[in-house]
Amino acid sequence: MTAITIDRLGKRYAGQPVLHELSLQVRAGELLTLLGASGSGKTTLLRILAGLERADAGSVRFGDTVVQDARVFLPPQRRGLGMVFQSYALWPHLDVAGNLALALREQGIGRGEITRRVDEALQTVGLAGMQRRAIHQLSGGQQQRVALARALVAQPRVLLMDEPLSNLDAGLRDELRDQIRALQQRLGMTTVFVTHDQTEALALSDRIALLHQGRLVALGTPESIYQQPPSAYVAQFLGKANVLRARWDGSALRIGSVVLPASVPDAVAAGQEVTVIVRPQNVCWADAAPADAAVIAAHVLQSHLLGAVREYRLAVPALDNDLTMTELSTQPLREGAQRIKLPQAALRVLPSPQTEGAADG
Amino acid sequence: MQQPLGLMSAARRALPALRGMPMALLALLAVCGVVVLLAASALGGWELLRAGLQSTAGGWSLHPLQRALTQHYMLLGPLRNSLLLAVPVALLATCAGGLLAWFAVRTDLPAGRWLLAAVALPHIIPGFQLASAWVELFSHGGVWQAVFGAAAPVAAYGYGAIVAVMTLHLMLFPYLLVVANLQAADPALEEAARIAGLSPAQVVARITVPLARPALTASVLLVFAYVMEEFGIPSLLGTPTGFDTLTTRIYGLATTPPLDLSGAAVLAWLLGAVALVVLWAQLRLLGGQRLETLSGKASRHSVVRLGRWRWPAAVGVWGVVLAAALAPLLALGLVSLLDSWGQGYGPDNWTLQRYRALWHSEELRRALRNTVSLATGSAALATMIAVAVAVTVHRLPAGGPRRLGILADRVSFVAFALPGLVVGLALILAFSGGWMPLYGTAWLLLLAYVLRFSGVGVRSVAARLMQIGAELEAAGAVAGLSRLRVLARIVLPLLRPALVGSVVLVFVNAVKEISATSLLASQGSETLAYEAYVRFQEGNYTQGSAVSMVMIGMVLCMLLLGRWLGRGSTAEVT
Repeated sequence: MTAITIDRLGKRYAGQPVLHELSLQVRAGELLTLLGASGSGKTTLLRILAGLERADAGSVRFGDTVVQDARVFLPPQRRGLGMVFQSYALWPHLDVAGNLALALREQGIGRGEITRRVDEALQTVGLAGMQRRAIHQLSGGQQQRVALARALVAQPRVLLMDEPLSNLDAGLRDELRDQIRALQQRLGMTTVFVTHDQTEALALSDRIALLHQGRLVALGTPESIYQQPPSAYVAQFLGKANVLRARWDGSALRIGSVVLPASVPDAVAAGQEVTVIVRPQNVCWADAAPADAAVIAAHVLQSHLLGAVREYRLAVPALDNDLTMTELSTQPLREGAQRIKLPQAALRVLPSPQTEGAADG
Repeated sequence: MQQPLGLMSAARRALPALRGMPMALLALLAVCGVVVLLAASALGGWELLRAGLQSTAGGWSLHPLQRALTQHYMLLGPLRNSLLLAVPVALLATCAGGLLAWFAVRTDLPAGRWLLAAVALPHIIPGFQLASAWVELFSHGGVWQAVFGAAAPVAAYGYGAIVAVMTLHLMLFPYLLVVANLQAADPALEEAARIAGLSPAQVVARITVPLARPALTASVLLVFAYVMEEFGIPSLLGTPTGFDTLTTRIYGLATTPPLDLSGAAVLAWLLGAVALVVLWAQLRLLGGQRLETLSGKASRHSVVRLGRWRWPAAVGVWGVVLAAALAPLLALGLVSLLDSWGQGYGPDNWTLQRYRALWHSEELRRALRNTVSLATGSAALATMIAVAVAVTVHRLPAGGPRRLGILADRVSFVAFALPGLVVGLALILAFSGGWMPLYGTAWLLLLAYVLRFSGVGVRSVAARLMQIGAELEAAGAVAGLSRLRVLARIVLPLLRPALVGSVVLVFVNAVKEISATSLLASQGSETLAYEAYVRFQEGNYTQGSAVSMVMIGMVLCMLLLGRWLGRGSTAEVT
């Protein structure tokens, strides 16, 4: 198993910086997701790891091997990688087995051994017996699995995946996502997975690295990064979030005319502006909430049934804000004037004030 | 194909050090080819320029230019004749080809999709052979007279004959361009006009033709360029009546004593300049206004129903097209069987003697051998050069080699657009005597064919290469393949249809080539085309026709082989 050490990588395209001094450690055997909007630099970073692009500055190590720094540049064919491409990039002139065998054959591996490994890889992805199929005879999901098998067949040190699920329809995407996760855990292969889909990242990853404009803005387990986002941008990228501006008066938060008891980081001094993040599912109706929180008047503007949950858009004049709220759709539908509570445990307080403008990506 | 590849892989297993050697050797050969191509173009261009600026004494002089401009028979007369041919043929061929394209794509004309084969046949037959077939049909005592018992209704030689034969020969280009245009046009544009109340005829006039205008303009330019550079047809049909064009005048000046290579060079400048201006205009046309009509649903066109005109139209169109396509072939075939010309066309005058001559006559056997090896050699070399140039231009990062590749790309394109006589004259001037006396050898013909037809290969390979998604190659690199192996194992197999296309087209063009060959071939380096041409020029129609039939057979076989090898190539490559 191989850890990947990324140290102060920099990359520019036509003068425009794409990566800023980006440092990151991928632990041996983990599945790390590079998450970000388009233009965040996540694909560039993956292509640098693959050796398909060359960084302008910084270094990359696979285990103890330097694969790229100011002097060294190991071309992709010598990095010992497996990679699944967004388009799958299956070679159309070869059949399924041919796609898997090409690189093995070039390494001079014996015929019997190749057949054994190809069969095994196809078995692993659930395509046993498809060896002689032509690529264009396969469905999208099957092509995706062949691409995965091709990436695995050479038993690479590191597996790279570039949005491998983005070309599939929703049901198949979830199924294959779970299969990739199970397979990766079984093989224990260091894996870097690029996606722009936060649900995919949350479901799949050991850790998530969130990139924004070429910088690493959050790194952690799905649990920690979702529950304790380090910034409003991160909170909003990982799912819906209400972002409120507040003032810490030394004992409570003041938002508009509302006073909320809360715990704040030590760095926050009395009188300082803070940002408060509340997930929609943590907003409660006053009659269904713990007793300790303040009751706030609200008015239902809109409601949408999203399936398992129902989403409300609430006007809350006391907070000078509208709030988004969700609850299980099994609860009765509410309309008109209502009262809500923001329980203390639901409030995530961040020291520096963040405007919503920072979250337009 | 299988056998040598098997041998190569066996050798590779036996000697691990040889891994990648054949690829590296091929690559080296291709690069050498590119360098030779560039050097020969530079040398030829320079010598052509110099020859036109030289006095008889040897120093620099404007005298040849002055002579060409002041003596009517040299430049202005032939130029006028060339234009008198080019303008009407360009218009006629575009009208005829466009009309047939409309019938094939837009109407329910019976067997409309077979029109392509019928229009292609007179183009597959080399121009000078089509001209000879015309003579065999319509000359005094020709096939027409024998069949209908009356004098032929059209002249066998002269202006009208040249216009007719050229139109027939070049109609394929407008046909192909207009078919592509009609198939790409969004059917909704015409349907909307019908719903707005226009009759089918009005739709054609108001919508179809204006939409096809870029294709029609491109056709006119393309046919114009081909007429200007056509040598074989005016040489056989015009020269006997004293009707000389720029090409036949260049040929006369360069081959008839007393030779006047300076004068020929000046005419070649003019002819080359015309070709380049037309090329430039075409590129501007294609680059400038591309109609936004491609909807990708080409199949669902509303068909114009010919109704009660369907069968009269079928008889008219097919009658004319079949006569035009088959009559020349039948005439050549019939005359090739005749024991003696002028003794009637019945079976009692038939013999296979002319075909046997291809084996028994040393000269013809040599020509057959030369043709096969020159066509094969130039097809292989031009295709290798094409791969080298296209890969350099489209796959290498900016830098010295890439700049050289772009230069070679341009040069091959221009050399293809230049008339064969201009290329031939430049090569004579550069390689007769001096430090590399290739004149009179088959090597100079090989150089001429590679020079003239590499552009065909480059276009076809580059177009295909641009369709291959970059990720397919990245996947090879990530999987552990070196650059050369990626090229060998992924890029080349994906290029197969383009490689087959390039080999076939260069082979066919090399077999048919007469305009450069007429200047460069001599005893020992004759080709079949040259032999046929010389026979026709001497009036030996029976032997000329037999050689022609063999050539046409070779070309057709190659085209069918190419179709078969290039089959199943529609798989997506992105």
